[in-house]
Amino acid sequence: MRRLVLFILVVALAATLVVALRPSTPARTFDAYELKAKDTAESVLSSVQTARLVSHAATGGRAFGPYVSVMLSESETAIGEASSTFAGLQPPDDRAGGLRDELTRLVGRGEELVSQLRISARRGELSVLQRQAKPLARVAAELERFTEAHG
Amino acid sequence: MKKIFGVTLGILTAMGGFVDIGDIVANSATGARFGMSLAWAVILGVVGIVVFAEMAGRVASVSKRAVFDVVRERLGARVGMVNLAASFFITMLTLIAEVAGVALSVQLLTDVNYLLWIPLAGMLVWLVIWRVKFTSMETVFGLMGLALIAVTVAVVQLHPSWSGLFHQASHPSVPSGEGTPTYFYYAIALFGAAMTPYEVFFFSSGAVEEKWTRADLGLNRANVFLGFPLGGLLSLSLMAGSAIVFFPRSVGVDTLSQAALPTTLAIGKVGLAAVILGFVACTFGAALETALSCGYTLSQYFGWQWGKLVAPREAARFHLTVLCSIVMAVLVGVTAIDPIKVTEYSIVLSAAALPLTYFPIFVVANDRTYMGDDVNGGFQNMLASAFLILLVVVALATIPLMIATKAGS
Amino acid sequence: MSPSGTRRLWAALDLLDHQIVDCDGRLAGKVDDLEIEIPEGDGLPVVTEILSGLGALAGQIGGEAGTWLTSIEARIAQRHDQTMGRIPWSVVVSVVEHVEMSIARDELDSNRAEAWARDVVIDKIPGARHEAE
Repeated sequence: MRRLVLFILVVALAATLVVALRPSTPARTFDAYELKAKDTAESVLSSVQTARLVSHAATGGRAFGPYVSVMLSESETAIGEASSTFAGLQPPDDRAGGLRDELTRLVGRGEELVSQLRISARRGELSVLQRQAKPLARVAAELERFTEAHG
Repeated sequence: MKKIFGVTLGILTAMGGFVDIGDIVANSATGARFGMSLAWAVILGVVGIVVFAEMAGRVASVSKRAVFDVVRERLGARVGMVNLAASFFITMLTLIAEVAGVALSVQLLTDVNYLLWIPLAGMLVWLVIWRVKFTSMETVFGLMGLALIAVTVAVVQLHPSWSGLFHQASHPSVPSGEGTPTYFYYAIALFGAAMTPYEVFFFSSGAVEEKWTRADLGLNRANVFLGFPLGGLLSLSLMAGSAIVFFPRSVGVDTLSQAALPTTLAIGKVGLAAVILGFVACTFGAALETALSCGYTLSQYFGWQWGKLVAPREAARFHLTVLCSIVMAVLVGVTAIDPIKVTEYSIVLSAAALPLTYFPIFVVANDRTYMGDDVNGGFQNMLASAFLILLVVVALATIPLMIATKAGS
Repeated sequence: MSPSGTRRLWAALDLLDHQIVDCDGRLAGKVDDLEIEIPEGDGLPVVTEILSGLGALAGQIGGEAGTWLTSIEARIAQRHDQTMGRIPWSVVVSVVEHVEMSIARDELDSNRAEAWARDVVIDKIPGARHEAE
């Protein structure tokens, strides 16, 4: 009985650790690489959309400064993390290389725009955010198209 | 009149106290990913916590035994010890998440990094436990938590397609692009968030400490039967807000700040302030409850003096445990471990550990030597047995689902 | 029930793992183990002592966890012999809801860890002597 309980506890703990540390497996085939690219695009899309929503609320006088700054800087960090994880993956072939270029350009554009939003928000210029966020609509649309094309 | 006031106060406190960091995160995240199609898991969790808390409250009032007294008596020293280790670990994990939740909420008001707020939050939690009376503590944070009603107002203000939301909720299906295991993994997360074990440790210990008797059973039922479902309504509002704002825009919720966004969009600054106040109150209240629960579980297993009705020096080991738990939570919190991930693990593991405490309470609630005539009725037993089976199934499914879905990613 | 307030062995099952309460109503540990005497002749076995505290609990749990508990207890109490509180059956007043004793918990060996926590940590924090407000 005691051994069984101990065994279950150890397995549960090990499983939790494995999942928590989530070792990233290298993408050896185009399909695997494409899947990672799609996941990255989805995650960046989520952050871009959040940034757009909060910019809209800020300029409309619906949110106060600290909250807007926190949200925009969280979005920026999230895009940065997704982008650097993806950049670290080795594209297995030329086709994957093309995919990499396309997504890196999109993500870079998104990160740059969200950075600008964050800078304005920290300066207290909430009224300009909505205008500044306009180009993000295109980035979002392209990211959406990207995830659908590689879904 | 005074009595009606007391009952109302209890219900409102239970309602505001129901929500904690786990409910906020789980409901907002699932609303964004699955729309309302997992609302059933919240409802199931609320019914479960009502059944569990009612039994635990009744056992505490009639037999004067809190949950871990019962665990020790019914399961013995050895199995009780395994149970204690698991329950303490999960409660500790929840405490880390709640303290970080307080800090994250304050960050939203100040734009000062939450890591700096964690030690302050921990100190305040300890100070309140050290100096403030049980009932005032409960009432103040429970009532402040009611500010989350802003989320419900926001859902109405967003003018959603009610039939659409209702259809999602009443015809649950896995949205395209999501796997069935992921869907059920999140169902377990919602279920665990509603049925977190510490709520029952805290509730039953409070009943013993306040010296509840058979005469208080009516009040117990009113608090549980009305307060918890109303609290569940706040959870569902968070889910609905996410389902309206985030789900169609493919936004995933993985920060606390995002959980406040639907209300901000709908009501503006007043709504945002109310939600943040609600977040602070709910996470702070839950931090108090989990820190105390760390002390309750350990003290009740070993038979040490516990509780807040005696001077701290009379319950020295209990207060030492509470103090160490808070220090530990602060130390883990400031390592910049992702608080949202900690929250997710704490609720999922909570769901897996539920049978450990549910089973002994269920047994004692049926034992006439403890309960006299206040044993479970026929209908209660049917419901309670059904939940026992469900809890065992959930417990067995949790770890495999966690591995299969890479923790829902 | 035998004449001198002792109880039959089967009652021991009802005692084990129950809460001990002292004469001031303070919780004073659990019934972690029992000392039982079998009288000569055909008398029934009787409970002579209640054993309480980490030392006794460690014996109940056994194995590595038990050894570990014993070492913790030794360290806390700053002693290296196995410790446990022995409560003579004569001080037990009632076993209805909990096991109630006629003495204060401070008189128990098993209460030393509590006294340590009180004297070394809790008493040094301001407000330790007052109930919460």
